[in-house]
Amino acid sequence: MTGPVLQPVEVDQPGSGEDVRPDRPWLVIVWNDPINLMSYVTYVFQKLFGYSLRKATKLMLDVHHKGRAVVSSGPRERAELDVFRLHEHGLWATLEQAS
Amino acid sequence: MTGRRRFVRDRDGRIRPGLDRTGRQLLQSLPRQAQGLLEHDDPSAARVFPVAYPDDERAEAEYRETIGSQLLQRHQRALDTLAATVDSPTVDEDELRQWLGALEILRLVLGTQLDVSEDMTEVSPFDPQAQQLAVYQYLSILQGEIVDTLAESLPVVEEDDLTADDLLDDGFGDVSGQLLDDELDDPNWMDFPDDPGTRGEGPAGRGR
Repeated sequence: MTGPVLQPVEVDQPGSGEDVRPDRPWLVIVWNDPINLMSYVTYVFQKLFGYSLRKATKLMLDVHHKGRAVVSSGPRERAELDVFRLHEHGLWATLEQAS
Repeated sequence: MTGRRRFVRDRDGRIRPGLDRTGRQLLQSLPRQAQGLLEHDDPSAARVFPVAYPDDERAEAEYRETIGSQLLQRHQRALDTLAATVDSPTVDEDELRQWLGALEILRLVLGTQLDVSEDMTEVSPFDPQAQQLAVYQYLSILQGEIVDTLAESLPVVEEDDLTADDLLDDGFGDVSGQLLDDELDDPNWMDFPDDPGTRGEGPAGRGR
């Protein structure tokens, strides 16, 4: 989990191309797919993130009903590791920086 | 073996798969077939290697470079373990986790080949893919049973604090909150809620 987020400072550097504001967390998103079992997805959320059954189930249902859910967030490296662990378990996970 | 419970834990914590002969033969041969597809980047294995950065080609290439071979190795280990231990009378917890991973890969590959959809509950015996669909459903049932067994040994987690939920709020609204309590009571969450007849006994378990 991220701590309190500092107000981003707008730095306009023409030509720099990349947005380097460091305080926007990266979001790990799991997408709905027709293959994965609901009980399996819930189990993976519990196992990987240590979530309670209730929270894991809520996230699984979010994926199922809304098509996607943010399952964790944090610095990029941490988020990428989470995505890798989800991919190891066959889940369809992506990461993107919070807007 | 009708009605026999599979994946039962014995007193030493080992798990007895309790598969019939047809099931064991299937779980011998499918991992080898899947290995070949994974190694040759077959399109049906695409779901086994999901995209991490759909909107950033460069980041995706780096991700793939970093983790691609590691992911393949993990998947191969799972498939190898399943094929190697499928005839053992009992397996340990780690082996069962590998079984779960292997079944996941097999279902992803087979499900992609069959182009399965969520509302696909009834299989007509005249469907040209009926046999493959029956295998897919059998694997689904086994995977669900293994999840139930492995979930027994997850650490008990107290209710998460609300702050964590707030931080994770994705702004898509909260549909599931209302549904959650109802659905928690529904034992049939799995892919075929309309077909209770297939639960507990796999189609491949019927004598052939």
